[in-house]
Amino acid sequence: MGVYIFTWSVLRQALIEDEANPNSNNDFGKNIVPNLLAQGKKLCAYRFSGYWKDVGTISSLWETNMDILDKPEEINLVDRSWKIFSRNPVKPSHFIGSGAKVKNSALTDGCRIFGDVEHSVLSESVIVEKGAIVKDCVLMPGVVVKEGAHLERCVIDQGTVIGKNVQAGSFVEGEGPYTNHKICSEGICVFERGLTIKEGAVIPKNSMIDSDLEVPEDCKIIESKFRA
Amino acid sequence: MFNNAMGLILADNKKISLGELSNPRALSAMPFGGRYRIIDFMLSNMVNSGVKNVGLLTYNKYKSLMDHTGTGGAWSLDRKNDGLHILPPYVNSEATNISSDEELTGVIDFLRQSRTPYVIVAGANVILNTTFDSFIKSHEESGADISVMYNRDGTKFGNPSYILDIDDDGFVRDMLYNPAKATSPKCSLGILCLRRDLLIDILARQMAHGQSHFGIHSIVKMFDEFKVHGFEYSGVVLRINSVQSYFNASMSLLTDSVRNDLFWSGKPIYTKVKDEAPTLYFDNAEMSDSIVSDGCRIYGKVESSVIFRSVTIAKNTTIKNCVIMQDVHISENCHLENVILDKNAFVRPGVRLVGHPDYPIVIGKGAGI
Repeated sequence: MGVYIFTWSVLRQALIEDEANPNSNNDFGKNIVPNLLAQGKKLCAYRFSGYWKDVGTISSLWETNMDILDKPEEINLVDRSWKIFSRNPVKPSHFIGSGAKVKNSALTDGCRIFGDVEHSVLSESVIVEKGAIVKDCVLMPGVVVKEGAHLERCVIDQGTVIGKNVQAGSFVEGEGPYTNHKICSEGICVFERGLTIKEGAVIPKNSMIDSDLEVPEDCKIIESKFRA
Repeated sequence: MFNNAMGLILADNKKISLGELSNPRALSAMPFGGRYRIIDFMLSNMVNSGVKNVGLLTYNKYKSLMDHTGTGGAWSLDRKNDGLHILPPYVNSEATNISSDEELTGVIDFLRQSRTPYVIVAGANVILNTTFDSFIKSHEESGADISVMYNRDGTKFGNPSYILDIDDDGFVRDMLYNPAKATSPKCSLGILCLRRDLLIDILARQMAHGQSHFGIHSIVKMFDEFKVHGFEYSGVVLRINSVQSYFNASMSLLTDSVRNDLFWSGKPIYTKVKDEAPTLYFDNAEMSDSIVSDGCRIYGKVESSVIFRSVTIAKNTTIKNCVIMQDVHISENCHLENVILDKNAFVRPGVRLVGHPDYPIVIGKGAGI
């Protein structure tokens, strides 16, 4: 799990030795711990029994977010004796409008929902407009999903605006200029932060919407990019 | 933003009772709008205006208020200079009870220690999101001794109401308390601006006449002696005068225009932070037209309601037109309509409670049904 407790003096010595070795990757799991084992140092394992997950890939990050919905007893976020502290946005409670549908989802302060949200995790101040469908998605703070957009398995970074009637995610077959099998799998689409996606754009599964990517003029789906 | 005024908030109002809801707390500590207390609005208005020195005048039941404000950190009022001051009744060592509450002694001391020329005085029962810049500017320009904010609500929020008769130059020439028939829609918001030294003089004189209670409208009433100028406010104002008006004010938050004016006008309303987890909606949750705060678990159906933090609504339960405060648990197979549930109430399975929109049922803090 990448969590270690060292005897201070042993770790200090090991780090000095590791630093002196030009062939080392300077990695705990690859270098420090194997070297200590080779030196015959005593190493004990501790078996952790609670929920844990490495979120080092897009699919595992997405999956872990879905675990909040699917395994609320395992990844228990409401344990008052063991709160997860965070920055608290200064935003009002979330609002769910009269035509909205919200199912199997996690919502937080500042969200305003007028469309359908199913099996998704929404961060603070996300707006889902009327007629939009958000399914199996992870929407980060301030994301806006405009009217009629349909998203499935999308992981969208902060402040990105999805234009009207955009279709994106695992239900859109085919490949496009943004298809990226290296980063995306299981149909998941990823959106960079601060983008505005053009109205009506169609984004096939496994796409990584990256504003630095050069694409042909007629394939451009990014209308603008917010630069702080 | 200005830095020439201090704030004084009257955290309770002896003329206003919310029955069981105001038993455990001062009026301004009343939970409102999902994650707020009434006082958050006025404190934020002051802070967003640049006020750095705020006194909260209380006389009893201030535990809840103090729990909420703490040292004022949420409003950036935890300062070495000025900051937030809670002013409980001044009780000298010989006093045997607090009924002879000497509110004014403490307030006068607090006012004397400040250096700002102006004071903004506000009551506990109005909810609005504004800054006081134009109010102070209008006060300075009018040449008035005292300025009072009003709007055109008339008597629609019920009693207590203070109807102002204002002349063509904007000066108050009469004030009617709870008139049977309002002669004017101009209703005081109970927010004053005046010079700090004038307020000290007025209070000292009231004390000398044996008065011990701070009344905002006893100052407005001095229109015979001082020039009292009216300042009209045109934004959204919610007044909490009774259980009914509390219920109506809560329900009005479901209207886009009210919600946008109070919460999304660019001036944030600060409140105590709680680090709650997001709210989880499960398979059969059905939501419509509702405000929901963090930390809830919703399995049932919720319609046109205001839900505070960490509320559980179990499956096959229907909630309609309700205000449900923090940590309430509603079990399976219940039907609640037009009900206000105070903090920590517990509703057992199969309970049916239906109030009337004009007379909601109130379930007190910690009650089990």
